Amino acid sequence: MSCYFVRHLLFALYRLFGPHKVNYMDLAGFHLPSVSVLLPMHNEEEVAPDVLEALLETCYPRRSGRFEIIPINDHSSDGTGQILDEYARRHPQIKPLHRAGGARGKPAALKEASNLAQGEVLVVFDADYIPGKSLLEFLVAPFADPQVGAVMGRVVPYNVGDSLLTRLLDLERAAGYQVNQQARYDLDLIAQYGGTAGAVRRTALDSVGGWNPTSLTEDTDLTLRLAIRGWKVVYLNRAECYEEVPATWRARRRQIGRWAIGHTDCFHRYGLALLRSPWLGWKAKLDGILLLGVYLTAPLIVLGWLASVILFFRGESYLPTLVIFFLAATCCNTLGNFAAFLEIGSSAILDGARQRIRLLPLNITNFVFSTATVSLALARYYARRILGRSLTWEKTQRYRNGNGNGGPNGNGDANGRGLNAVRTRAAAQGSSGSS
Amino acid sequence: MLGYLFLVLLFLALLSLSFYFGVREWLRPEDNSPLPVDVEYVRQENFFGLSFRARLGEKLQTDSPAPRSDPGQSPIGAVLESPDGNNIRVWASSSVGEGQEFQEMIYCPSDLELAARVLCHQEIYCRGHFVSGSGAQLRAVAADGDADLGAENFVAGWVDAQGSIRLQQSTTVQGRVTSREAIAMAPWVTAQYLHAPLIFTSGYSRASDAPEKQRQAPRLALHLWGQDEAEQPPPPYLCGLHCTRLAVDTWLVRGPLKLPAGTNVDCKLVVQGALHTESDCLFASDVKGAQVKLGPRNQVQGNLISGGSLEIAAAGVVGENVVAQGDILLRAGVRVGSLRRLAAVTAGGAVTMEQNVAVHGKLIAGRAVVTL
Repeated sequence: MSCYFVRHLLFALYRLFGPHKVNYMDLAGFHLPSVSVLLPMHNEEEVAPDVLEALLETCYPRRSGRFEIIPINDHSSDGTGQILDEYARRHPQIKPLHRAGGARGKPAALKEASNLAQGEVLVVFDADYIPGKSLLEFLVAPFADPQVGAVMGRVVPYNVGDSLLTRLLDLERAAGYQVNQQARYDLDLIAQYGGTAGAVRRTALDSVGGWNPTSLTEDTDLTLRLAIRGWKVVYLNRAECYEEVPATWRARRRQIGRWAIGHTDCFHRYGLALLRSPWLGWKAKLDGILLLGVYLTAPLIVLGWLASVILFFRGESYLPTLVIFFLAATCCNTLGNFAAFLEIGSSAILDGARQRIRLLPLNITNFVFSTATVSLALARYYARRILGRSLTWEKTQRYRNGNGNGGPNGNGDANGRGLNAVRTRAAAQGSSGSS
Repeated sequence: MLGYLFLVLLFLALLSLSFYFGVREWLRPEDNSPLPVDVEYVRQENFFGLSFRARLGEKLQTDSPAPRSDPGQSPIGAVLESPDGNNIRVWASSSVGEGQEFQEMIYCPSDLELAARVLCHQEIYCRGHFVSGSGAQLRAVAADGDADLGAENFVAGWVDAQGSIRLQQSTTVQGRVTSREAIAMAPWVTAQYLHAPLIFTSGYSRASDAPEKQRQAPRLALHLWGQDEAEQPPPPYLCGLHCTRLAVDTWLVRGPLKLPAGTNVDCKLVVQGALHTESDCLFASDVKGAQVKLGPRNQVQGNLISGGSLEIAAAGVVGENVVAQGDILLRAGVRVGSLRRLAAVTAGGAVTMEQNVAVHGKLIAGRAVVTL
């Protein structure tokens, strides 16, 4: 726990006061490899038109096959397939892939689509994302560096105002990207490819064996394989894209449970290989192990709480414990509980969104919920490992149509979050469209 | 007992205080909008010049002329008063005397010439050619023709011209310098950011640049990664070094690496240590080193990347982009990019250019771009 405290503190302080690496975004528009955009879709009829329209409006050059879009209709039971075919009829650069057989899930879909892609760089977006006109240029610019294997942009929650949970997750995402990812990149540690709003070099992907269809977190899996081999992952803080975060605790539980299992699975798969890699420095190795083991702290915390309760009822001298607990809890909530929360506060300041810092103490609810959820998820994971059962992929719930069912609604802008709403918002905030 | 009670109450009070603001923000949100992400954003290198021209054009149509404050003084154009206080001086005359100072934005519908030591606190828009004398201090300049800034000029903002820009000796521009044609930089010029199809230092002659004299190195054919590729031995210049085949077209070396004269590198090369080369080396693709020092007449047909400082010796040629975390030194005769393929030179530190250096595209430095 102390290691994580130091780690997060270091990241927050370095992000606030340390020097930053050269911004590869200066190369935007000057390094333009051929690009294939992969869009995994499972029952995404409500959101598919928006992401396709947004990509068709990108300013990325289209000459001589330098740009193609491969939406992957992955075992959909709604109108996703028809929508993709209609777009393909009108736009030759859209080349849908329909999957009705084979393994389900995003990694398997990406694996199959990658075999068809012609681009030197593969860009992946989730179906509910709305990429900006210049985002592709930003994401591919760092590939001018021959050691760069993957690039990750920043995802920004759009459905912030839906619930307390979405507001807390907005803070969590901001800390994760604005502070944590940026600091890891600047410190030459292992920045993480996040599986969406990111790009992968085709030859790098091939050199590490492609997407892993058996992993629940194919992004972490790929990040580790790239790092072990000697590739670099670049994080671009200003390559931003809107996303939707879970709006209900139930959806959040499924999401974080998947992350915990996937991460920990990667810990077991790649931990030793990471430590043995001749291409990583000791700091990167240490941070990589801490990154992979982060979810293992949850059951440790639960054990700590249980131990405290047991010791209390065993009649141990509790007065000093009570005093220390009171003081610690008070300091915790008044000075910024845990270094991880310092990251959240720092990110809010860096984003210029200071008022949402007030929600920081409420993040303790998310913390307790996540700790319990992760602990249960890891218990299930280890039980499956012992029993020899495989992991199963679970799709994150979508909320763009307002009911979370992905069912036909006839209007992707039902709750004002589609492409038009985002454009309107940008115009209202004084976007001149250029700078 | 009372002491314990007091402790508990104090704890609850402080805890409640920290939660109070959070609960209030939750129940009466003041900041629950998504962070602004501009999906319409498209980068324009000469954005400042374009937006200023547009803004000034609107103001010229709406602002009203102000009466002369001193009828006896010979007027230098009419002053248009603006409701926001940013007045515009419209210059009928095309030349301005030495040492004058102006608080307003300046608009000239034809050629404009400023004498030495003129001080302009606001932006200038000249629809023709713009010339400033030595020692002028300017805020920003937009010219529809050419722009010629005299020696020891200081520009606090940007310079944008539809024609060519000439920055004479010891001139400093703190913002962007953008031209649709070319930017000529005399010795001891300092700028932050330059963009033009051609940026060159003194001693450069377009006629002396013979087109496409690059030697052609055989390109490595790309094919599916397989067992054969993984087991192929490294090229001769990497023999004896700890290296691995990073990808089908890329070698990763644990440096340092020193390449003898005339080495041909036909793949992408990543050196985790310092990369030094002697003369006449040829790189068919991208190159990266922790520190990079290329010898004379080296050619890099791809991108050139350094994790630290980067030096390209005399007559070096780089076909694509140049990036360094530290300083970049471009020795005499270096060429970067081409008119058909613009490139960016970007440094975390300073970019220093000797004479007869030409960059086609963009120059940007964390500290400054300086000419010797």
